Amino acid sequence: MSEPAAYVIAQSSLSAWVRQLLEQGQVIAPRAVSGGDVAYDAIDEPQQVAWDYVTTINPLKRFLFPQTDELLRWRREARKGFRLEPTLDETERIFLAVRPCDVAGALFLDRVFRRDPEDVYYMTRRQHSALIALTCREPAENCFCVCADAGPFLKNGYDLQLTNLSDDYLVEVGTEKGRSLVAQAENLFAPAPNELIRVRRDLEKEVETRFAEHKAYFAAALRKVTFDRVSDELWDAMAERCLECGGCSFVCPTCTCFLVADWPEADGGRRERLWDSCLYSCYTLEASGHNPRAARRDRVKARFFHKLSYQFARELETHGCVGCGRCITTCLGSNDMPTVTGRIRRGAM
Amino acid sequence: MPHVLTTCPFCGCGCGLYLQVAGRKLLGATASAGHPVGRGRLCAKGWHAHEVATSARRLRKPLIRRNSAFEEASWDEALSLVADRVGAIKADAGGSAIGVLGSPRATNEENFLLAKLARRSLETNNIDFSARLDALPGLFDLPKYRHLTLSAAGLDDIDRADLIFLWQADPVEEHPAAASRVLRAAERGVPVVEVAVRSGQLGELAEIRLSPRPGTELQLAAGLLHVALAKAEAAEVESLAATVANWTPDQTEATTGVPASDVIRVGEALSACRAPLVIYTRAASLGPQGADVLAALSAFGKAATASTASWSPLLWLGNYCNFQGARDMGVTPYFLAGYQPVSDEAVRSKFGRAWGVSIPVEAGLPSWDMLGRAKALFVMGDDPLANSPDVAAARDALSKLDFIAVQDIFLTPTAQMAHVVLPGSSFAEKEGTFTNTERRVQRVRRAVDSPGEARADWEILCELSRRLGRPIEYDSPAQIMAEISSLVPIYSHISHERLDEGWGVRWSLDGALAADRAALGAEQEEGPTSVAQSSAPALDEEFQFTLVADHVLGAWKTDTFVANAIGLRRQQGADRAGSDVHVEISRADAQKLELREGSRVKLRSRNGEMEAEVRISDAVRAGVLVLPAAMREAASVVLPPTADAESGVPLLRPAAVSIEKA
Repeated sequence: MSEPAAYVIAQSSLSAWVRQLLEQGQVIAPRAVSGGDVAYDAIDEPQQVAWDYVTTINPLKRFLFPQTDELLRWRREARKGFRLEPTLDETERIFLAVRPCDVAGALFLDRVFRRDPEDVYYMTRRQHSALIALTCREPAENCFCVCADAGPFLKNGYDLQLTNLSDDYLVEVGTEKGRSLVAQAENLFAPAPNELIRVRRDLEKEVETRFAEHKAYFAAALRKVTFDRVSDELWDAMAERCLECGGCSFVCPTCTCFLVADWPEADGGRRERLWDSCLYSCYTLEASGHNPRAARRDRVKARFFHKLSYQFARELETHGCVGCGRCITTCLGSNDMPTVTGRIRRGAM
Repeated sequence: MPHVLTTCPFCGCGCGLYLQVAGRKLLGATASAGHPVGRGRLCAKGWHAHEVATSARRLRKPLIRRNSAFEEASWDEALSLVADRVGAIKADAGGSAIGVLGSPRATNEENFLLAKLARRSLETNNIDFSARLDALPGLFDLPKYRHLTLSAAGLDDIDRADLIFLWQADPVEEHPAAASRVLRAAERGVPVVEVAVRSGQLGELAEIRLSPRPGTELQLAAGLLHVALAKAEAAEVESLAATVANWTPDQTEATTGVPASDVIRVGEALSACRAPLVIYTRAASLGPQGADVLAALSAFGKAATASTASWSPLLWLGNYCNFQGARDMGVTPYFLAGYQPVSDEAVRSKFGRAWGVSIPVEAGLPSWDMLGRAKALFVMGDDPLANSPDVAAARDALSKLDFIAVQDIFLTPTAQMAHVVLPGSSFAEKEGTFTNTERRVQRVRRAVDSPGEARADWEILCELSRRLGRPIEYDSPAQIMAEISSLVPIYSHISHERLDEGWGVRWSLDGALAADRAALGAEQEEGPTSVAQSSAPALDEEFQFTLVADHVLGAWKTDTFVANAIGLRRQQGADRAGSDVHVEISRADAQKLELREGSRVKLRSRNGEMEAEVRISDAVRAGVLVLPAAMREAASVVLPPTADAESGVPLLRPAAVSIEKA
């Protein structure tokens, strides 16, 4: 007999389940943080999960690929030179109630870091993590995941996917890891009746129509960027609206650039990687002093080339955007993804 | 990985950010979406703010100079040495022989405590901070001037303005949170007028750029007022109109070089708008005739149509996270906290009663006099060498002091000259408050422990006070704030508890604090009573160019926090400012003189000559050469600091120069 593809858990059983998850590892969930914003953060108790949240200030990236990420330590050893030890983070993490765009973001990071040579630091964290998605019933102010095929419901990629159906949550199983999470709290779950699966399908269709506030024209932008059919004047105009903060890179679920720093100590030291942004003028600065992207225009162009060109999309299976809308909030200027793709499509500001 | 909400330690905007902590380690910084200043945004500095705290260059142990080199020492030894030396000098020469410098980057609580230590334990009013120079002419903190560098306007007023002046201000470089709002306003169609000899990035989006000859900003402001007031009939602007009567568009063009048609266009826009906002920074206040320029700008509200009484046209952007707070807390020779004059007997007795001492009557020395006249200097988080317009004079004065103690988180140029260095705490390691440029008092929260043996600054000050024989005891910064609110009317409604409930509280110039408003000079926005002739350096056949020092160009080079944060320091390498002594020149002038990027030139002023490289810039006005202020020492022969007529403060005024290939 095959295992059911979906289960149901009563709203009232969620706390018990979260308590059970807390025994299995660190649970990272949306929660109100000190200032009243909602962020993915470690929880200690079930009631800290903000089940009704719309969006968080950051994607999961800060946990899987932290802004400061220790890679290794070295130690001087008598007559043996140096001893190197990689710093691998094997903390068991369960990411709970993650929005589909952010799951899609994590899957994108997987594709980046899985490439040969595989990034052991990232992959170790991923191997020790589970992704429990929570589908969206309401768009946040800046959402455009529908354009990026990254929400408001996911087709796959999650370990489990939860959908709030008022009294109950439908729990779709995406992987064996997901199935085992259900199995470990067996008494809280029941196989989902077909009726509920139909309700969920209808809900998905209905919800998608509400995600229409912002639109990102990826197909048109991809075509024009790939074939260099965006005028220099347009890149110049967009560059005037970039204040080089790097915020778009930092809040983006799919940006992965970093620099490497060594911190020598008395008898050894540590190596860290630190987030970097392609909008910084030092990003491409060469040791000779030459900078191939000294002009801001070239940096803005490089960023969107990386996000929107077919060359990269082919390698990473999709364009580099999941439609979370965080760049709309964070850009000091107005170079967020929907605005930029709109400008590229029009060929004008 | 908890998110700890705190306030950015860089500029005066005061964006809210979360420090991200894992265990005992800072991992990063991220914007707060709900914060009223940043609104989910940060500039590069903010995104890298945690790197200030995690810097490998942090001071971890007390240092004592022995045989001209620093050696690590115990806290006990270092503090005893400071107390002994300072105590001996005080016993010998009195409190007036001791100078104390506070910091626009320390918290309100720390600055208040330092001022208390100075006035109570060291018995001196010699307390100041060197960056207070930026607020010239508000520098004197006299009611006559103070409103000129104390913003009645707030950052939200950028969203409400219908005409925005960037008056010698480049917020993209210095105050990106403000720049972001100006950019959005420009995109909504709000006209932006840029007034600068070196155009900034927002100049690209500006409706019109005015580029007056350096030193003629006052006359330009008068010319704009002349046009704007031409049709005004209200009696209240009559005297103002009379004041600027001579500054016709033609006269203005003759003096400033700004075309009369531009003067008319902007003057008419000013007259037609309802809510003009002038954004300005230290470049305007430190400039020639700065006080008069700011007085003229403050009259822009009166020149507008139907500008409401509550609308204030001046938005001053300070360069440090707690520039405002350091002034508020009485880190000035003239005032106890809250602008309560030391010269007022009632004020002295109020603080004296609370502190159980009598507050010294003798007027204190401002920072620029302190260096030369005190025998000992106690510095908390200040760097007079980095801030002084006359670096050589400041270094010379410091080297003559009998004793210097510096409490800081980095070995700054000033700390390198100290006898004792005490390692303090960064913003990420302490509780307290900063007050931003719009007077918003905001919480600073502890996210991690200080590195090594570094200690919280307030604890160091308390410990020092005990050793000086006049102990000051507190349990926490919250307790210090309780004392501040009891003694300082403008902070009477502030407590850590209340601040924790929201996004900070702006101390008010209106309402219940109307009496303070009057005392603060906020009522005095009458504008100029006369317009002096230009103080621009005279050009002639020989000296055809004007050389100016630009603070924006050099800013990233001299900022201690930038220089020590790894991701930001790296950016310096790619910075346009570069590291060789150079001046920026307009493309037109470079072509005329057949200069290429990097050409060596000889600059000669009436005072002397120097060599420099040229950088060709499309942003610089023709006829002007721009020197990064960070390189002022190398240019001191050609561009000598000259004493300001009113204050005696040495300032970098524009100079007439000749330029030829070296």
